[in-house]
Amino acid sequence: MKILYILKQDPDETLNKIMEEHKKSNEITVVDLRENKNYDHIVDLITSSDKVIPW
Amino acid sequence: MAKKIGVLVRDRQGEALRMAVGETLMDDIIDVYVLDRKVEETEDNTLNIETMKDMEMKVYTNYKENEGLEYLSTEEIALKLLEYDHILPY
Amino acid sequence: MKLGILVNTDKHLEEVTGLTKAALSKGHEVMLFAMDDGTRLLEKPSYIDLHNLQGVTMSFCDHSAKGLGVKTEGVPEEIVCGSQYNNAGMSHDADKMIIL
Repeated sequence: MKILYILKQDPDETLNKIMEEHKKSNEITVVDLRENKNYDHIVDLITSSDKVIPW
Repeated sequence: MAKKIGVLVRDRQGEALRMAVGETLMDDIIDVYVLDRKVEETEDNTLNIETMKDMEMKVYTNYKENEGLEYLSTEEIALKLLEYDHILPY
Repeated sequence: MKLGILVNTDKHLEEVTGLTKAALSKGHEVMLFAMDDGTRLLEKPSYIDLHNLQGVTMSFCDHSAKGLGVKTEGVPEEIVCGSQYNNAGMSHDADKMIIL
């Protein structure tokens, strides 16, 4: 499963644990909106991901 | 077809819980996860959680001091999140 | 794809507009619902202007806006002054959801 995390802040301990768990059997991608302003690419990632987790 | 939605309640508990109750209005399946802290004992929070229980919504928490909510570890919650069409951390 | 954007802060206007326009340019539909601090963006012309774009539908939580004293008198009627019902509708209809 492809999981996209869209970050608006530094990941906290809870999100780190969630990502670690997801990494075990999924393909994860992390986009930090504070740095990444390539909205075209982000929309493509949203479209192609099975799950989107904004944080 | 009903969507399955997971609402994650973080620091803005009042609005998150209000939204979670509202999300039921289209007859979708809404599960709620209270993360990392005790539910603040306000009139609105109490009412919203009572409403969720009346509607037989599932309300989980990774914070053991939240009495009356079903405890799951953060790792268990991570796995459950993959069941949802939408994951809404508030 | 129908993209739902729940706008619950007023901190990410650039990201809201950027992602909305990028999604539209790829032929997607975008639904925006503002609540909580997100309703403060109703006082920002660049947020309001999104309703003019083909493929965008917008609504907001009147309860939030009133509670925060947000000025909504000038908000175009195409931006629905609504409730959590509108948010539930967005979640129900959206293929993907993000929160900004």
